[in-house]
Amino acid sequence: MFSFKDELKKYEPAMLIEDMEDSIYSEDFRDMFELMQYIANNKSKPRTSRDKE
Amino acid sequence: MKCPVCSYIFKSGNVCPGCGTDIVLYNKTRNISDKLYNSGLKCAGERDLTGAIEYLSRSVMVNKFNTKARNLLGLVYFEKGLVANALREWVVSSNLDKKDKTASEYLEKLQKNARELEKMNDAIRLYNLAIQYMNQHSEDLALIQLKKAVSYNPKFVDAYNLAALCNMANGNNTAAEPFVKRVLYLDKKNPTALRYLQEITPGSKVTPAADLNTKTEDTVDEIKARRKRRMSYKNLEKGIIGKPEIISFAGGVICTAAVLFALVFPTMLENKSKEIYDLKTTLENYQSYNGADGTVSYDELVSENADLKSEVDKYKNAVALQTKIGNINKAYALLANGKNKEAALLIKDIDISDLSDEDIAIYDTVRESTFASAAEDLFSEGKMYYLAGNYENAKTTLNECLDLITDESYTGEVLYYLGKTSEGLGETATAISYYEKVLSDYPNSAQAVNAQNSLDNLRSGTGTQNSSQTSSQTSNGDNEQ
Repeated sequence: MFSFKDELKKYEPAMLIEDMEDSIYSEDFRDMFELMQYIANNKSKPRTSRDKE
Repeated sequence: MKCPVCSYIFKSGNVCPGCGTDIVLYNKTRNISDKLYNSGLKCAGERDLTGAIEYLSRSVMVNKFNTKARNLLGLVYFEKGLVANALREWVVSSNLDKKDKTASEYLEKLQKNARELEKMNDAIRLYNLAIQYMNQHSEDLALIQLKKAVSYNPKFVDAYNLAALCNMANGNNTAAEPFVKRVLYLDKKNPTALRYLQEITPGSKVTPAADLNTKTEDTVDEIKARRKRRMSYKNLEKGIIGKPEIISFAGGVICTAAVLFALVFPTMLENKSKEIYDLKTTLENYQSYNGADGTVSYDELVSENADLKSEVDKYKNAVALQTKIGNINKAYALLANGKNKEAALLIKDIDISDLSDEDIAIYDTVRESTFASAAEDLFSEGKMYYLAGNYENAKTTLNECLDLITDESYTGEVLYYLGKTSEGLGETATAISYYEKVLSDYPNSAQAVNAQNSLDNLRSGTGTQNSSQTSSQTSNGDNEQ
């Protein structure tokens, strides 16, 4: 027997067409390759005094 | 191979000769993305939409340029009823890869069916509203919204799931079951629906997806067998009688007529109602128009019309009064000239109720001086007409005499001659009524005996024969007293 309250919490409002544009602009489109590249680039850079702080 | 950083194209190696980027990582991620896309495609082919969304989302997360995966993701979203999510994926896809036209085609198709798109969006709106109602414990209202939502978009999986939950919350598992089954038909491995199904039918071990597949296969076989049987039966029937075609045709005609009746008749009625409504509105506009632009309003026109009518009536009455006064004065002048009969006839029908005292005095003078003598003259004249056989003139003159008569001593005689005149004109019933009036009102009249005889003759049916005789007798003065 499941709880209806908990079950209801799983339902979220679906996106409407008018909200689509905001959704595209707000979404982070960086893929895994870009993230890895970003990490790799940051790792290769020497740490600054600000980073140490 | 194309370097993802500088777009340099090279044949082999793991480092780009152009910018020196290590592309091993890139190749790895691209392969993972493709594998995820393959899995997603497989799920989509098996109608496991939830699984497909899971794989394809991961695929585009690993490689955002995997437009095939993104396009398919959009398609799966669309199939699930999430039209905005689908649009988002296709918009992104068409922007990331301008060469790939698939996403643009999808978008174009949707734009062409703007009405359908709007309906799907409305379905989502209703679904969101239903969630709000559910949170406020208004399951009934939520269910109404959800039913409307699935009528707008019959593939809206989440709406079916929520409708099932709604019914389950009300303790109506029987009503929830069709919704769950519909979800499992659209999305065979939908975890929410599977959970609900277990809740509705506890102890069921067979997964609904497998169940549905088996059922579908059985159904296909069954359908084929049934079709074969039907065809053989049809052929048999056709050979012997050939009636089913006629019955089908008649059925078709009836159905067409019913559809036409159901579609055309209401439209006609609607048109008529619209016309009536338009006319009513126009009338109301006229009535409610307040003449704001300087012109006269409807109400003002009505009141002005009533005023004018009363004014016209007033003028008519004044003219009538003037005519009366003019006639009285004319009659007075005729009296002065000794033309009593003409003077009497001129004023005999005048109504003196609205005359001034002065005019009434003149009227009375003329009346008193003329009526008696005029009546006598008219009586003689009428009798002469009768004797001459000129019944029409006799009738008119004797009636005028009756109007003016003041001396009742010869009224019986006048009535008697009116009776004779009517007899002469063939108006027997009128003649009888005159004779009866002579006998009842003027029994001592000089013509009472003649009236009785004439009445007897008419009643015995010999009146017409004796009419000329009576006329000649009267002219000879045999019976006239």
